[in-house]
Amino acid sequence: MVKKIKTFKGDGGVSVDMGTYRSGELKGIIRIVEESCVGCDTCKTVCPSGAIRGAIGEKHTIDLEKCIFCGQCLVNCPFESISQMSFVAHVIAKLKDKKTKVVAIIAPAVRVAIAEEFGAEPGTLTVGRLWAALKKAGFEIYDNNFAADQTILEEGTELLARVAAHSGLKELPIELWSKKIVLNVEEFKHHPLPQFTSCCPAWVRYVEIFYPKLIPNLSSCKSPQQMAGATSKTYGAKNIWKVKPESVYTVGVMPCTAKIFEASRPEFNSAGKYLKINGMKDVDAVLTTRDLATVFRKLNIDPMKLSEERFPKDFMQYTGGATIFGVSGGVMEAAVRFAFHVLSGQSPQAMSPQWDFEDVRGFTKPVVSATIPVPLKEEYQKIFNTKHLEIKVCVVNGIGPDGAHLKPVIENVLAGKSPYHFIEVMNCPGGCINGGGQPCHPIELGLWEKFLYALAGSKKK
Amino acid sequence: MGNITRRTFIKFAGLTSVLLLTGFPKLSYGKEIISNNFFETPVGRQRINLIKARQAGQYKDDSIMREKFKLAASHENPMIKRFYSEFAHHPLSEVSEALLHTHYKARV
Repeated sequence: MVKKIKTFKGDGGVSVDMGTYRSGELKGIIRIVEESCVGCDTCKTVCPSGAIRGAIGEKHTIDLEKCIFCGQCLVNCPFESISQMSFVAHVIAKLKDKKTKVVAIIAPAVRVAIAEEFGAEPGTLTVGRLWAALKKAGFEIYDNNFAADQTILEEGTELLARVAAHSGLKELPIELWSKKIVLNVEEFKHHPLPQFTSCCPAWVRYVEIFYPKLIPNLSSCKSPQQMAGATSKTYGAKNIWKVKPESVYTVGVMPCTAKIFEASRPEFNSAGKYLKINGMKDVDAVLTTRDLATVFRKLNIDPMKLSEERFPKDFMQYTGGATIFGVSGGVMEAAVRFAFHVLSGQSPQAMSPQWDFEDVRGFTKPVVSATIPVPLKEEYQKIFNTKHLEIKVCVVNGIGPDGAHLKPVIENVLAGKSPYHFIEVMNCPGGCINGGGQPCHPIELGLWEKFLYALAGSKKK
Repeated sequence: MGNITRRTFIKFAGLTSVLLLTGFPKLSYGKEIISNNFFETPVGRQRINLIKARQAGQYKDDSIMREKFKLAASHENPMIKRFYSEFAHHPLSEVSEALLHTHYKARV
């Protein structure tokens, strides 16, 4: 049985730049419910950014200047004492408005967790059923897995450009779909290696607050959610759905609470800028996996009663590389599959285990690293003056308690001693599948928590 | 349980003080030394089965996409080819830079 998590209705962001917030950004997406907090300290032991204050046995509070909204405290609280900002009411109102095209951007990890809200076992894969339920509710579908494929094309090419620039090259030819382009890579000299992934919004805010020196190392790619928002309102509206961009309302459906914050960042109005339409956000609202289950329940839809068969078209088409974005090591593996293809000229035979780069999978290890020897195609052998290129990669599987998984890796980068080309960081241990927006299961109480619970109860009397 | 002899007590006390003086051995994973591994904390241990079940679901989806739809790597997605040929031209193009890339800001 999953637990019910308290929510409160979302409103506008802050009106001016203040502290670690910029104008328009949502503040306090995660809040501790004072009445039910017993001060057991569990949240403090999982918080990646040291944002939780309060002594054992006292009511805890969140330092909003340090909070990165990952929601790890929320999913791990034994007393359901942490609540989340929700946009369920906003989205349901838009679904009722027939003039609006409401687009659901469904993240990879939602499909392995939403079934838990309807009584199924954890990990039950729900794709056809989820799409059918969303259609029934009135959503158009832009699978975020399609955006993950976009991310790999952009971020993988960016990585190759950085590697080329730091090997002293001025340009790099790239062949895709039998078409050749030549990229000018000179400016990538200013984009240092290792390149860090930028898909995880909690990690991005963590860098901006605690390690701003590493900003040039972050990939310039938006996260898939934001790519999906900007693509929906431009290419999607015009070429695929043939509607006005202003009538498109984009809803991220995410395993994540930090995505709620990400969508409110002021720079994410790029579709509006591109189309010269004022005041248009790339992503209008974000629902967590739990929130989407609430929407389904309010509309009397049970996805588990629908057919799991899938008929992907348009933005529902995605690859194996895209769907593993939901697990730690997935972005890395997808990028390696793509880079391997470009550099070696070989095509991935879909079934071949050669395209399973298992060494980069985080599973339940806090940090993994691998060296991947890539055989170069003839053209690149001449350019790089070698037959094999060794790509060195590292995966940080969760920032860890107070940064414990991440800090040793980052300290090496800051000291200029990091051997890697590419480092993936996901805030949540296990990756997005264990995100702060996912269905919550009971946390068993130890003796100590039981004692504090009893103590808090006796204080009330 | 027998009585604790003086010898057992001294052994135990000695071992404890050695651990306290030298510090508990830190856990090492690959090249990195991790001081506090989430997966070995009391809360982390409770979440491992859930994490593994969802991971298995995600890799199952990977095999479905590869075996049934023959799509392993991102550039093989037919809609990706269409998106670039009709709209964005190629990765890191001007359109890509405008819509798919961003910048960051230090927050002090």
